[in-house]
This record gives sequence, structure tokens and C-alpha cells, in this order.
Amino acid sequence: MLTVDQLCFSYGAHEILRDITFEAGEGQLCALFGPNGSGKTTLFKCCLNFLQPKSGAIYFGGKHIREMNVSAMAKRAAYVPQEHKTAFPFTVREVALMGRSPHMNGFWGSGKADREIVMEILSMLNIDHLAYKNYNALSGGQRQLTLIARALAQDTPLIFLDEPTSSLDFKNQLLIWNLLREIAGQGRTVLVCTHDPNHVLWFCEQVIVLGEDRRVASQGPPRRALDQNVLRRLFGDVCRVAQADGVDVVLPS
Amino acid sequence: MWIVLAAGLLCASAFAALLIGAYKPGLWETLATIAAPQGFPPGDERTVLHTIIWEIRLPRILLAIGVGIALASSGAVYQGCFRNPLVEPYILGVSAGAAFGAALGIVFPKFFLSIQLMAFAGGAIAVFSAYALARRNGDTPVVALVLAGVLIGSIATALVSILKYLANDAALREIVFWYMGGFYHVSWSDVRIVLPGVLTGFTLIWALSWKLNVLSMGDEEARALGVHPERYKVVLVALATFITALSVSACGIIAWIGLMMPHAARMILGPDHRFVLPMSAIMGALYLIICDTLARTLIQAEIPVGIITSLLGAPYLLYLLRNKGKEMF
Repeated sequence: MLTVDQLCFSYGAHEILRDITFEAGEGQLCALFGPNGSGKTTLFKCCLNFLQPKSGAIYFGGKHIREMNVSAMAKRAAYVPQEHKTAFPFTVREVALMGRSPHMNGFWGSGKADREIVMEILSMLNIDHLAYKNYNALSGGQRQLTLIARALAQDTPLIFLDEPTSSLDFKNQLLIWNLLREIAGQGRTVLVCTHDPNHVLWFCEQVIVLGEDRRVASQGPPRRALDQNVLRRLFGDVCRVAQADGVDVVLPS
Repeated sequence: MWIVLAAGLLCASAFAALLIGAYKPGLWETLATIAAPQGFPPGDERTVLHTIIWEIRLPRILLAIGVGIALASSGAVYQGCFRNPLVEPYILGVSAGAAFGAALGIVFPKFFLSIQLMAFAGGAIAVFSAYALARRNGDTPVVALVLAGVLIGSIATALVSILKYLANDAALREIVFWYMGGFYHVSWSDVRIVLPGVLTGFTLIWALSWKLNVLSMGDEEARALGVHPERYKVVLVALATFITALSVSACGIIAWIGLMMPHAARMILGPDHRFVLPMSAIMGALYLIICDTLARTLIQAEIPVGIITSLLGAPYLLYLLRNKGKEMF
């Protein structure tokens, strides 16, 4: 579904990404893991066409993203930013409705069908009782859920999420990750940027690990691609991988 | 629903404004005069009334409507595009820039294009400079943009002062009266330029109002949602600057309407620009008619309407900052 081929990126003389190559299949929950400053966000922005790479190519379903205009991109990939506040006090329903923008044609914007789709998605995520609440007045977890609802309303085969759980409490973190697994289970490719190794080990099917040397340090199923050796190379001797009930857990050493 | 009510109020107040003034005609007389645009036969005692209604009050009221729509809706556009609930044509320096352009056109009529085009050029340069000054690392902080706008506005005002100094007596008189912001020497030729231009500009902006909602989420999100941020922002800001320039070139600088009206509309109808734009346009027109009627009836001589809107608007901004600050940033 998503193919990144020998991607290089630099800000002026400052190199950020070197020779990044990976693939994420249909219906896969794929993590992009790396320490702070390893270029996760930059890679994300290249995939979404926010930034132009120096060389290399990115394909969605075999099609080069350079050949897609803004509205064609928006029909293929949705972007869930870190939860934030908006400049104006939009309601949850209005924020989610914006996800329908690429499918709207016409003078007025959203139609009845768009509103029905959005209400369905809000009740699927159990936030339909918040539909008419001010988005800015919600908790961080509720805002993140609203942004995910917007991405689902956009109805794209690919969804990119930027650190979706970094500012949430533990319960909301688990809620979001289980939700992402469900979304991937419906056949969408979900790419998540994260810096928590446990989340990767517990929830993801595939991981791309970005190292300090600006390259892909390892990739594959998390159990193999994020094992003790990889973690030691990334972080030094600060952590180890243990087992609890057959699940891998990263503990401080 | 609210929009229909506001539109009704606008019609009623526009009609009431026809009746109010130094000369107070009766209701039926006025209706008869409106029904007779060609005028009355010579010798009819209503000829004076016909002149007052058709040559003085009606164009004045229509121009106030056009200017009110222009300033209020362009305020909403700037706020949405720059994601900043504190900006409007006056604060951004667009009005002062347009005024400088128009003043150049007045003082040197032979060298420059029409006053309206000069006003548009001045306004466009002002908004672009304010935005460029405030932008740091891909971000435009709320307060930085306000400060940049004040800076640009004060430079443009200083430049207008230089022009006043250089101008000959006739041009100076024209600049001073026009610059204070008022509708006194309104003629049908002003109305014919401003009203169609503003209504066209407003319709185009309204057609893009859903895009404006998406743009207010920020550039990257707008792009991911299929709305090309740079392209639509340029179109919307250009349209807003165009209608601002038209109204500035007709009646000088009138401040605060672009801040007060969108905010009041949002308090009534929520932030969706599809409703905020028509609502603030209607309320802007209504507000200007009321202020202008006050301006010409409050005392014997006429007060420039720009002074009244500033006296009412500045305390409103203070109220916003003190009571609503948390919701706005």
C-alpha cells in the first residue's frame, strides 16, 4: 500500500534522512519508531507531501505521490496530528465533518450524507454524546478521538498518526491503540509515529526503526526488529526486554 | 433563522434611516417619493423631498450597507486565514495601506491609475508586509501579527501625512475629509462602483466559506484535508483586500467593524464561516447605518462616522481581551 524507496531528505546542508526504504502492506498497523530527533516527523511529512525529499520516491498503491495533486492525496491519505486546540471554538461534529472535505463537491460544503457518515463514526467511537460540544473544551483524549474520527470520515486507505498517545493518560493510550488495531483490521493501512517501545511491542504488526545515523536501523515484526540488540544500539544500556505472560516488555535495566 | 431576522432588521433600519435627519418627512410622503424615482412634475412641493431622499439619503445608506458588508466580511476572512481572532482590516494595516494608495491617487491624479486600484495595491502591500513581518519558522503568533499590522498601519499613516504636507489646497481638503471616514459627500457614482464590487467579492468569498473553515485548522491539516493552503489563502485574502480597498477609497478609514461583527456573529451562530460570513456582513451593514444616522443627527454639525465606530469599537476590544482572552488564544 505504502512504499518508500531510497528516500533522502535534508534541510539545507543538514541531513535528516538517508536512504530510507520500507513498505507497509494493506491492513497493517505499522509503527515508525525512533529516539527524538531521528527524523520520524520529517519522514511523515515527506509521505504526506508537506515536504519535498531530496531524492527517492514514495508510492501510494503503486502511484508516485509527486504526480498527485492536493485533493487526490487527500482521498488516499488522512493525517491525524497531535491533539491541539483550534483558533475558533468548533464543535466536535464540525471538526469531524472537515474530514469529508475531499469528497465534497459543490458550493455549500457538507451535505446530508456527509453529516450522517460523521454521526455514524462518532457513535462508533463512542463520542456521539460530545457531538455538539466545543472541541477546545474537551480533554486531550477526547480531542485525539475527534481527530481520529475526522480521519475516518475522510475514508482513505492510508492513515498517518503523529504521536497519537504521547500526551494522554494510560487508559486513553490503551483505548487509542486498541482502536487503531480495529481500524487496521478493517483493511486500512495505519502508520503511527511513536517513541514508546512498549506500545510498538504490544500493538503493532510491523515496525520501522530509525537510528541515529539517519538510516533505517531495523524493520520487520516488532519482536524481531525491536529486540534487545536494537534497543541497545539506539539507547545504550538503559533498558532490557523481559517477558510477562508471553508478551515482551521493555524494562529499565 | 437568526440571519433572516438580522436581514429584516437591516431593511427596517435602512428605511428608518431614510426618515431620520434634519428634514423629517412623513411615512407616506417618503413611500410616494421612493415609488417615483423619476421625480415629481415641476411645481410639486415634494421636489425638495425627492432631492433629499434620492440624491442624499438613499446613496448614503446604500454606500453604508456596501461598506459595512465589506469591512465585516473581510474581517472574518482575515481572522480565518491567519487563524487569529484579533485581526481585521484596520488592525492589520490594510485600511491605512489602502488609504495611502488612494491618497497617492488623489494628490497625483495624472501619474497613477484610478483611486480604487491604487487603494487595492496599497492594501495588498500592507497585508503582505504585515504577514511577512510576523511570520517566524512557519508560524504566525497571534500577537506578532497584531503588532506587525499596527507597525505597517503607522508607517502608512505617516506616509499619508507626508502627502497631506505636499498636497495643494484642493487635494488637501479632499484627503482630510475623506480620511476621517465619513459618508457626507456620497454620490451615486460612489455607490455604482462600491456596491456591485463588494457584493461580487462577498459572493465569491461566501462560496469559499467551507474552505475557510478548513484553512483555519492550519496549513498542514488543510493540505491533508484536500484544501491547497497557499492557493486558497491568496485568493481569499486578495478578495478581502479588494473589498476593503473599495470601501476605503469611497469613505476613508472606518475602524473596528471587521473585529466586532465576526465576533458577535460567532457568539450567536458558532464559528462555521458558512453562517458567520453572511451574519457578520448583515450586522456590519446594520451597525454602519445606525452609526451613520447617529453621526448626522447627534449634533447640529456632522460627526465623521469613523470617530463613532472607534469610540464604540475600542472598548469592545478591551472587553474581549479582559473577559474572553482565554477562549480566544
